[in-house]
Parts: sequence; C-alpha cells; structure tokens
Amino acid sequence: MLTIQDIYAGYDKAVVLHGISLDIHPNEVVALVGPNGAGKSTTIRCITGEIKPVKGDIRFCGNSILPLSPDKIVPLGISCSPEGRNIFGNLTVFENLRMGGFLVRDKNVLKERIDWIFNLFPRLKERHKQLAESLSGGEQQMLAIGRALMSGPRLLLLDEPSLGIAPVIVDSIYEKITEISQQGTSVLVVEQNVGLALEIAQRAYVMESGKIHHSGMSADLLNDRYILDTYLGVK
Amino acid sequence: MDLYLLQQVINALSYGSILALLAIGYTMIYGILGLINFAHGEIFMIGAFCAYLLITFVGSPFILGIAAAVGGAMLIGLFIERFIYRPCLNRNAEVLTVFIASFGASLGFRNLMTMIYGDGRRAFPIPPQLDQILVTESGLFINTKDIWIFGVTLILLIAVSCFIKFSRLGVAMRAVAYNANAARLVGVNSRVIVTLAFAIGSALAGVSAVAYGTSFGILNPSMGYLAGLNGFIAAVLGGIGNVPGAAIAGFIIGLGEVLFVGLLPPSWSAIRPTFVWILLFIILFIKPSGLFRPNIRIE
Repeated sequence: MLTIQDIYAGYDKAVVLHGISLDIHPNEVVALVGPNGAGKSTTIRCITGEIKPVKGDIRFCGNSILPLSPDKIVPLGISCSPEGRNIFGNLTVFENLRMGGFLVRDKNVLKERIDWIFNLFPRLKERHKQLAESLSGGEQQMLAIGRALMSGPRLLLLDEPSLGIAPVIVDSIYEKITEISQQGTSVLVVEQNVGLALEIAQRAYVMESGKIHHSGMSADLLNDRYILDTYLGVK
Repeated sequence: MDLYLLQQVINALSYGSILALLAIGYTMIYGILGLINFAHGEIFMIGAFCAYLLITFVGSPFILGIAAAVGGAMLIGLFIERFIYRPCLNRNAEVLTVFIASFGASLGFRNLMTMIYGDGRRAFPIPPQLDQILVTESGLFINTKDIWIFGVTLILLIAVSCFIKFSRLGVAMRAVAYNANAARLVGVNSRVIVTLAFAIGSALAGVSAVAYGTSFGILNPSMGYLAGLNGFIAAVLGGIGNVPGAAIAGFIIGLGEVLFVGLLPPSWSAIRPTFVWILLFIILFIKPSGLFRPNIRIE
C-alpha cells in the first residue's frame, strides 16, 4: 500500500536519511524502531509531506505522493499523530476531533467517527467540552490519535505514542492501536521503546543513523541476538 | 453627573464601534500569521475613499457607498496579502523583513492617496435622514447615526464571533493560529485561511471606514494612522488572536478615550490621542497578554 523507495532527505544541507526503503501492506501494523536521532521522525515527516526527499520516491496505492503538500496527502487516506502530539490546546476536545475531520463534509460520517472514537477512548467523551491543553499527557495522546482517525485514514502514522506517558496508560493506548488496526486501518508506529512496538507489530524495521539496519517479522527480531543485546538489554 | 456620564457613554458608542471593527482585522491577521498588518489603517482609509467617491461624485445611494467601501477595502486587503506579504512569507523572510514590508505598504498607500487627493480634509456625505438628534425627557442627546452605527456593528460582531466559534472554517482559523503545522496535517490549506482572514478583516475595516465618515463627517488620506493605531492597541488589550476580546477592547478604548477627555477641562482636549499610549503602557506593565485569553500559542 505504501512503498518508500530509497529516499534521501534531511534539513537544509544536513542529510538525515541515507537511502531508506520500506513497505506497508494493507491491514498491517508495522513498527519503525531505533535510537534517538536515527531518523524515524524524519521518515514519518517525509510520508506526511512536511519534508521533501532530495532523492527516491514515496508511493501510496501506486501513485507518487512526492509532489503533494501535506493538506493534499491527508485526503488520500494517510494521517498522522505527530511527535509531541501537537494537539490544538486552544480548542476543546470536541473541536480538535472536528478539525481532524476537516475534509469530511458528510455530517453523518463525522458523527459516526466521533462516536467510534469516544467508544475507543471514553476519557475523551467525558472531557469533550474541556480545552485540550487541560488534558493530561496520556489523554492528549489519545486525542492526537483520535484526531488522526477522524479523516478515516487507510494508513495511520503514529510518531512516538508512548513518549512522556505513564506506563499504565501506554499499555492501554497500545491495546487501542491493535483494535484500530483490526478494524481495517494499517498502522506505522514509530517507537524508541522497541519491546513495546515489537509486541503489537507484525513486522518491524530497525533504523540506525539514517539507514535501515535490520528488518523482518517481529517474532524473528525478538529472537535476534543483536536486537536483544542492543535494544532489549537481554544478555 | 450620572446623566453626564451616560451622555459620554452614548457619545462613545460610534467611536467604540469603529475601533472594535478595526481591532478584529489586526487580531485575526496577527493570530494567524504572527504579523502586525500596519497597512490595515490604509485599507480602512481606502474603504472610506471608495464610499466617498461613489456617493459624492457618482451620486450613488448611501447603501451602495457602504458596499463600495467593503468591496474596495477587501480588494486592497487581498492585494496586500497576495503581493506584499505572501512573497515575503514564501521566502521564509525574517519577522523584521515582514514588519518593514508592512510599514512600507502603509506609508506607500497613504502617500499615494495624498498625491492623488491631497491631505486636506474632505466632507464625508452623510444622508440627512441618518443624522437626526433626539432629546430624551431626561435631557440626553442621542444622534440617530450613532444608534445605527452601534446596531450594525453589534450585529456584525455577533456574526463574526459565531463564525469563529461554530463554523468549520472558524474552528480551522483558531487551529491555524495555535499550530499551523498541525493544522496542515489534518488537511487545512493555510493559504485559504490566511486569505479568509484578510478578506474578513478588510471587509470589517470597510464598514468601520463608513462608520468613521458618518460619525466624524470627514475623511483624509492619513485618517487610517490614528484610528489604525487605536484599533491595534485594542487588539493587544483584547488578547491577541481573540476576536470577541478585540471587539470588547475596542469599546473599552473608545469609551475610555471619550471619558478621559470628558473628565478633563475642555482646554486639555488636545491630549486626547495620548490616552491610548498611556493605556498601552499600563497593559504592557500589568498584563501584557491582554484582558482576555490570547488565541495564539504561547511558547
């Protein structure tokens, strides 16, 4: 469904990604893991269109999305819960979700999706009239995911959904990610917490210094000596 | 004394309306672009000239004059956005560069109009049926034009506030003001939002210009300078980016200025323009974020 072919990208003159290739198939949860500074978020931002690769191609359902700006990529069916959540703090929870469905014109569809998200994250329903900035970190993450789901994506990008959140909440958010994927949305989840990501993903890519260092089925990676030593601290 | 105060409040209604309508343009554009549009006062002035030229020289009805002021102000506002700010922003210009461009646009339009029309004051055509003085039993003087101006302004303020609060594009405007990048990631084309902010802000400046002409009976190419400045200070006082806040602050400044002069001896009336400066000083000392909640991201 999504194919990244050998992209090179970065900021100004500094190249961060040195030839990244990856694939995501329909109904799959794929993890992109690796240490801080490996280029995981840069990869995500290439898919959303915020950063344009200098070389290589990104194709979604067969068409290149490289020439498109972020607001033209969303309607194709890709949406993102960005790193640091970036919710609209000055809007209520409900208004944040409504913004997530900015491009959805059908009122009934909007209502169905909001109900679905409230079902998925009942906390958001309890607080739907509150300003988003008054939410806790975990609730803001739920809101960021909910907002991304409002556009009805076929591919959901999650950038570090566990960052700065209490472990109990992280577990419940990860359960919801599995639930979302079972309802027919492919998910690409970026994580520093390798163990966590490999638990829910079918496949994973391990990034280091702007390159794909390892890739394969999560089950195999969990038994890989290098992964165990480097990321999971098992000796 | 109570009657005197009430009379001052009535006298301030028109002036407060003019500032409230102007303040919304400043606050919307600052909220979305982080840019003080110094040319907003000139958009206002050109709106006034459009109405004046059409009514005085073509003999159009007053209502068409209003339409011309709104249309002319919108055209100039969109022109400035398209040909002055957008090229700066497309090149990722520094804040100072855009600031100077904005200043240049303001000076440019003001001087262009001065070259064409001279800076003398001209009489703004007020329809006589709008300009009736009523005297109440208690002895208050009420001019019908003030009631009209206040009424129309109130309706527009409520309409714009509802638009910002409830409509899809209104919510998007607030979202872009808070975090433009996150707004792009949900599919908002921020250019459309910027254009919309300029269109609404300029249209209200056009209405404000007609209110100014009707209230004071005059217009000239430098009319936008002081009125624009007061409108800008109202935007700061109202919490930058906060549309209803800007409107309320416009009335506060209008009333404050009228009371300030009203309570001083008549021979001091020339210090009237210093009022907003004193007020701005106080705001910046005590509560720089303004009276109401700013609608921008505070980092």
